[in-house]
Amino acid sequence: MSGVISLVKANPALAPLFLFGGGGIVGGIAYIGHCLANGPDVIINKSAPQKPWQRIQPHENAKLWSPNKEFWQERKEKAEQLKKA
Amino acid sequence: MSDIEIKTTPFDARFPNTNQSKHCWQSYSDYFKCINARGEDFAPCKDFKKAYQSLCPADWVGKWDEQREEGTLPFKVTV
Repeated sequence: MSGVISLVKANPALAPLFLFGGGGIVGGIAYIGHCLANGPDVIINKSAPQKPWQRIQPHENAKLWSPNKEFWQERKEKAEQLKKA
Repeated sequence: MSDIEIKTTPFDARFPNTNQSKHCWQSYSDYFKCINARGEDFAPCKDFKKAYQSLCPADWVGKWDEQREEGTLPFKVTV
């Protein structure tokens, strides 16, 4: 770390390199950690009574992005109607 | 020709991707848990049966059925 700081003080133009590169590495590791902790795909805790995909509700979208927003909107509305009724 | 009804397993939000292997396994497992808990004639169990018959490769169903008969099924279908 101190080597990096002294290098950047000597060549200030290198600062964005370390900022974006470091941010990208941290972001990548954080995304992997997020998927392992919250993703419905991978079984981390084998002795848990319920598989990780069983917590997904019928109106919930497990994907990051889907092109068909109306489909999910309809499912959400149906779920809310069922909740009220 | 118009009176032939062709259906398949409806969409399941737990398995939104192309790979439906987990859906197959879940349906097979749920069907036999349902049968063991409620008896073979309990009508809602049929949905699980239709699901695994549509989704699962015949090899898998055959292998699991054999394992069930031998008692060596690697997952629990009781409770």
